[in-house]
Amino acid sequence: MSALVIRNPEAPALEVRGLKKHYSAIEAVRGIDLKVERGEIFGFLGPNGAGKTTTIRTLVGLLQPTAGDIFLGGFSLKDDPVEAKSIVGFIPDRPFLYEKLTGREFLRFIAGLYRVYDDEPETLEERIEELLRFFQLEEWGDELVEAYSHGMKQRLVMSSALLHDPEIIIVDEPMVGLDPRGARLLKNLFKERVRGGGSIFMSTHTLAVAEELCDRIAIIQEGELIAEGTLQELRIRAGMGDDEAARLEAVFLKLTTDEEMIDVVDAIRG
Amino acid sequence: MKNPLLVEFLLLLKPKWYTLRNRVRFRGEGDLTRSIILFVIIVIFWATIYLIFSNFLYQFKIVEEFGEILPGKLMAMLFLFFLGILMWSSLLTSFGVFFMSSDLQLLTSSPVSDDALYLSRLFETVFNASWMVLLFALPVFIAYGVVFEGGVLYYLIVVVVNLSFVVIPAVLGVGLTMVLVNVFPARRAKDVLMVVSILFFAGLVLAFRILRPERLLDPDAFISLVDFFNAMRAPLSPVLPSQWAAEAIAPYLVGSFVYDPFYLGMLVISSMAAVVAGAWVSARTYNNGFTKTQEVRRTRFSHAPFIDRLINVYSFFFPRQLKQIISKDVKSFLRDITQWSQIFLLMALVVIYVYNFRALPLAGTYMPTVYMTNLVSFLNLGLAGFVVAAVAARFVFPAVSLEGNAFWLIRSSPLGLKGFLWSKFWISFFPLLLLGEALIVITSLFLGTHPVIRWVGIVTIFFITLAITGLGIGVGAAYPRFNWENVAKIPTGFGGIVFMVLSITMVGVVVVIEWSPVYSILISVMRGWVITQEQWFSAGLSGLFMLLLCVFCFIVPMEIVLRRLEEREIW
Repeated sequence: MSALVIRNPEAPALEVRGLKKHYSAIEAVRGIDLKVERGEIFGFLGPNGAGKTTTIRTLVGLLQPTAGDIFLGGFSLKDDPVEAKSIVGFIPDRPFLYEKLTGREFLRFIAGLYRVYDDEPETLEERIEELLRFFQLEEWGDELVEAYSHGMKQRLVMSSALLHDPEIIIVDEPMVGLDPRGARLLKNLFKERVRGGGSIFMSTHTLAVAEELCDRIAIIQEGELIAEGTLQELRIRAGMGDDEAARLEAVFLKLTTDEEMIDVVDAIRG
Repeated sequence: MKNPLLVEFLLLLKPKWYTLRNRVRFRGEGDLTRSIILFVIIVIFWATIYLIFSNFLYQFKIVEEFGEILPGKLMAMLFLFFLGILMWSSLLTSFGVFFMSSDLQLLTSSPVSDDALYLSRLFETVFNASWMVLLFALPVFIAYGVVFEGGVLYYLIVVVVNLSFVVIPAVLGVGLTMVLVNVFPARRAKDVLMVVSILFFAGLVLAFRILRPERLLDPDAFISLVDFFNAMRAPLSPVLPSQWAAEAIAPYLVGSFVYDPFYLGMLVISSMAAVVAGAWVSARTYNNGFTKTQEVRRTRFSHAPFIDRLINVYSFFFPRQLKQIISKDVKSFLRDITQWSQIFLLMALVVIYVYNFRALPLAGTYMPTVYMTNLVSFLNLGLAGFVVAAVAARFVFPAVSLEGNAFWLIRSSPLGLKGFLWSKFWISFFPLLLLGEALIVITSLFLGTHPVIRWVGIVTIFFITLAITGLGIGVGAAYPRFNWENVAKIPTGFGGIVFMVLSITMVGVVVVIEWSPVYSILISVMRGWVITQEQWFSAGLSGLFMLLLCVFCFIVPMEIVLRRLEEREIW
């Protein structure tokens, strides 16, 4: 994969100030502040309906926030959306694509949208081949997307998110639909990206993945951030600071579930 | 003891009932206003149909020799038309209902009997395919009832006849769908079905037009109308359910003899037999067909370098982002049979349009031919505008919705929504302009129009097309339907109605403001008079007004929908 160019290295990869999103009477996100540093994998966790997906959709410009500011690589999403969006690669949890394009055509289309390799058609083709090879889609590159399986579509979305070498990858449930081999591929890719100075903002329910990959983790519940920090900092926050072996799952349950529910979960586990 | 088949059948219909009920219970913002507007439109439509039909029927009633025959013949024609529409609509509906619904995986894996599943899906098909036909047939039957003083029994017979009648084409449509799904490869079956149904509909529209129903409007043509009905004997065959339906109602209504319930019985028994036969066919073919539709296989399509070159030429002057969207849209259109096959409908529309002008009896009118020719030619501008609007409703209005759930790619990309809307505009404008200009030029050549009118038409249709394209993209973006399953259904919602109303109003206003100054100049030119300053001023003023109106309709909708589209949830 090609080397990453960071345009505003002094600015954090992602910064959110006072983000709120209301749907009529429902307050999905109630004023959250976040900062993701360069070269960091940031995990964003929360129970169902906590506001994770709403936050992610707002971060990538799919939803307009009710209040607050979002900065991507130092560019304001509100005031400078074109620059802000051009340095982000978004991987949603559901890979909705243009079904009547082939894989290769789809990637060419994305290159056009992100205005990359404008005058270098040959480099673009090389880059497309590189990505298709990396995600094991080479053979399927000339097939219509409608014939792809869910996992293949997910891998095609990942290829498209990497095509323009984004500084930040925002990903919602990265492991959904991937087989163990694809999951390993993705984990390695994320690690490689952050080593090169890139940043990952990742929402997931797979706590083992978050534990393995994330440098820092934020937990959102009922639209508010209830904890943020490294795993050790979260342990302390959950009152489990002495137990270095405490897994993220236990910490997460402790922070997001009331005592009675934890007893029920423990009882079920026996 | 309850019949288990009936219990299962009712259970399977419950989710549909709950969905309907919840739609009323949990109304969204603006839903009430929309419902009221729709209701008003439907009432106006009903009233118009009622008035037209009652007028016809009163005229028929006073013709002594044919007073009892003509209403029956007319009803038979109507039922034949409904039969065609219902067949078409059932074909279109049944594939989705029987093979593509998202709940089928749950139902087929649950312990539900095949018969119950078939009956509940057939009920859904009958309902979806026929509610609109029945809704608009209602004022026709009321007109019959009022004119011929039907009484309670008449309305009872109408209900029984219609309920039995709609079942037969639905069973046939479902049966044909099952055969197609079993015969063709899974993915092709849907495509074949779509083409068959669209060709069927285009043929139906053409056939209806070639029957020249406008002759019914001319009382002087009654003698030839007898010949017309005689000629109609062949399609009004006694083996068609449409004929049974007409025979079950009309004699009761207009006959002075004792009512014979033979045809009513025939219709009711046949519809029941059709359901049983359909269940038999379904039991033998459905599971295999459903399995085939679940299979994913590599699709075959041709890479046509010619298309790539054509796209490159078309999008040569556009920036790369727009070029990519144009390329994506054109390829998606050409590879999706459900989209391009709608061109058949467009062709039927154009053939009818040109045929209408060939069939115009201008020479026989008592008005001066030159005046008449140019008047008709000028009014043709309005008709051409209407055709352009109708085509735009099919192809331009859905442009934003066609992005479907993949719209997130556009929204999260650096391409602004404004740029996106403009790319949609440019893809649509030139093909639509070509159509509009072709209609004006061909029909003015047919009519032998004066060059002044011809040029006014050519220039005006340019601006009308500009405005209609802007309205189509703008209103389509204001009322997007990203979760569509059938492309053809995108323009059938509230947004589609808003678009058509706005477009037709705009076209009407343009024709009205242009007519007087253009006619005045035309008369001067034809008579060799000098065109006065007042005439030029009035022409200039109306031209300016037309221009401003078109530019307003072209730009404003695209600008005001941006915010609405930004706020729009995609999934």
